[in-house]
Amino acid sequence: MRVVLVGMSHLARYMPGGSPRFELVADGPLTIAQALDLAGISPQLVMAALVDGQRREKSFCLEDGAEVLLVPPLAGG
Amino acid sequence: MNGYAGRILRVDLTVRSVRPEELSAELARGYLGGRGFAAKLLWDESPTGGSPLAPEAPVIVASGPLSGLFMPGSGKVTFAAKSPATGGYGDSNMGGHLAAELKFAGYDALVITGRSEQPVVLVIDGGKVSFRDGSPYWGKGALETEAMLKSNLGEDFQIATIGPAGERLVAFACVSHDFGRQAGRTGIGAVLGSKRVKAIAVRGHGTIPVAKPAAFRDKGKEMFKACFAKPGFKEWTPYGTAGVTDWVNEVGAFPTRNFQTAYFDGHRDINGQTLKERILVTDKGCFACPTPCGKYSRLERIPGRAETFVEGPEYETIALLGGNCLLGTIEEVAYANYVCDELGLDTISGGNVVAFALECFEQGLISADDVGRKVRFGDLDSVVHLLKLIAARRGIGDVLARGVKGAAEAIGGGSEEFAIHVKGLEWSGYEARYAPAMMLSYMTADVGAHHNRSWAITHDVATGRGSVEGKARRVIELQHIRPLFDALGVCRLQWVEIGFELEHYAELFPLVTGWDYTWPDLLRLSERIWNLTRCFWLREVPGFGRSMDYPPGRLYKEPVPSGPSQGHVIDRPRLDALLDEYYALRGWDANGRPTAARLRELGLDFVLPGLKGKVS
Amino acid sequence: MSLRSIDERCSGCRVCELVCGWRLFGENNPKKSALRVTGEFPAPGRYRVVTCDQCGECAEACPVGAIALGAAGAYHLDAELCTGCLACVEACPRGALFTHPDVAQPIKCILCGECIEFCPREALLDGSREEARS
Repeated sequence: MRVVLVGMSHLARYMPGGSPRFELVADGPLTIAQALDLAGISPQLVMAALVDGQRREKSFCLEDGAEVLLVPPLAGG
Repeated sequence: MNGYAGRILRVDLTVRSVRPEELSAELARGYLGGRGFAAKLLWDESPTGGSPLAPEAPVIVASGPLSGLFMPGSGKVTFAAKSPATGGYGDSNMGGHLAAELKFAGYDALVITGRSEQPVVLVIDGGKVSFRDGSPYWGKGALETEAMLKSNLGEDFQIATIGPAGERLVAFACVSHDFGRQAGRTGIGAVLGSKRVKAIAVRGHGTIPVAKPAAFRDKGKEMFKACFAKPGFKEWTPYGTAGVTDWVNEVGAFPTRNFQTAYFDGHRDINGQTLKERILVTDKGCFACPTPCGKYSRLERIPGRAETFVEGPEYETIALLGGNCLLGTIEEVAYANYVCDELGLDTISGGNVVAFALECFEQGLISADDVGRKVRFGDLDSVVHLLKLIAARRGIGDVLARGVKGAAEAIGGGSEEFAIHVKGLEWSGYEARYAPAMMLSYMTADVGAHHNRSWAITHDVATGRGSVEGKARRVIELQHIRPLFDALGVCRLQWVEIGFELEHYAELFPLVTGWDYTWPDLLRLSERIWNLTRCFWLREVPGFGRSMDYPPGRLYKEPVPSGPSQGHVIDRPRLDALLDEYYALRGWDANGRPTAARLRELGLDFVLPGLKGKVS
Repeated sequence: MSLRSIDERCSGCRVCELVCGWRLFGENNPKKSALRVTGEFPAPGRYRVVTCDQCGECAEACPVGAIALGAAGAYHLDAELCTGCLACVEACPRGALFTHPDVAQPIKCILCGECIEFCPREALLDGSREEARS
């Protein structure tokens, strides 16, 4: 299956290859946590993950073609 | 001058004179505004070696060239002075509507000196400036005073006030505005208190000129639309800064029990989601803000206390009054927040000082006699009792009112090891024993231990929390970008929180000012301002240098005892490695002093005569 | 088109006032806008947006006939005819006609819709579209 991981805000600079979008092709089924692991993105950099605009736990199982928006931790000022 | 109101208002309280002065192009072009104006004006006009609370000491209130404009987040104003908490450069920036109103009234900045015999309210109504009797408000709460002044002067005035803590010169007294926004840090409230300024009220009707009106308007529209389109726009806003609470705990960086540890079991009861579910009344935004972090709350569930309204709590307050004092419910944190706001105390320093006192009490360094009762962590009554003692300067409150550094000097008994500050300013909400870049950010921030100059903890997580190598470069980069927002008079949260691109500001700036500055030009000015504030410290604080860039003992001697950062600490040799790299990259000497050559390169030649024998 | 507000959504940012000042006068000046955000703080802690609903009472009150209904459903104030007597300001039941020290005539909403477009909170809406949908 194929999923797209999109790093938001300052997460973009820490994505594989330094570009905000990363396309991952892997055998399914795949949870968000597994996708992060395969892509080499520290789960601690991801405060929230959104799939189709819905906030999902990292144990959420992704569908083929899903686009996952990764929201980094955000600073208090 | 486009982007500017074009005048600075000088106020001398001793003789009650006001003098509008044309804004000099040299000041504007060389220092932009906000904290840039503050740094330059304090260098030029703060009497060398003078007391921060002396009549001659100036308070600077400064907007920036982008403040008040039709663009996201243009509502920031800087309050600055020689800090009574640290004796060095002090500033604190605040949102709300004051920056914009000041410019509509025709002023980019206020420079306030002198001391009024009687309490006074400074009323700036466009070109009409007057001094009103402040006696009816003296002793009243900061929020209460704002409400009284709104009803007496008019709802359309924008008002900054101090509370009883500022009147009594507490070193961490804040300035309050818009019922819950504060210029919280570095004790500017005490400096206003020393001048007997209870409040500043501003109203204006003027237009802010811009160089290319049509192009600016279109760019402003584009910027708002771009914010609306960001995925974080709807995801981030509902919780504001409080939304980060769980994450900070998950990575083990949450100040807990006076920084004894970095993880608080009860964090889910004081996080942004809980705030939203249980106490939120409305989102409350600053001027021109598309992503309001302000959460306005109502408390009705605390037994034995009347219904209370408070803006917040935001993340820093949750960290320092919540985790650090072990208050376990969002209602308790919000109530303590309200008490601080009304008394005019910074919640960050306030939470630190209370937690420090609670630990001193546990260790028997202060007694029930000193405090007037037994006190303990996790008890709202204890926290409120201590806050009130501090604002009243009663009993041990008089000692605590100096901040943790001064209090530890008075209390002794090894308490300086757990007085959590740098340079005399208490630590904000990120425990950094397992985050070297964040640690360095706190060590080198130019007001003391505050996170806003460089928030680098994600950089640590991304690049390895165990290593110190290469961290200084990112810290320096952030120390130029983030404070640039404070010089421009805009909020950085659209960039920080929802990923709004920096390129927008670079493109906008020339449309406003007509100056062909590039983004690197602006960063260069930010670096100049950074070096100027360092020079101010060097000039004002005897023996200033490397020794004042270290955290307290607890944060480099005691490994974190629990939670995700358990066992970690950055020992002294590694702190030194961080500082060595940092100083070298900045062109400073091994003692953390800018070199004369570096200062000349940055156009700061004029500081050299004032630093004779201190730089080479 | 008709302008209405959902006050509970408002966060007090005044982007509506800013964009209005630009639309009506081409200036960065929210004090020259034809709507206002007001706050009720510290209690009960809410905002209200004062907007014009084009009820036409200002036109009735105007002694010189300077306010007339235009094609798009907005009452327009003719600056040439206006004497600046402010009878319309007095008559407005919503307090939605505004004065400014540098502007001779009252400032009135022309129903351009820019405040709706740029409100970050969707607190301002086109009421006619809402009705059409329901």
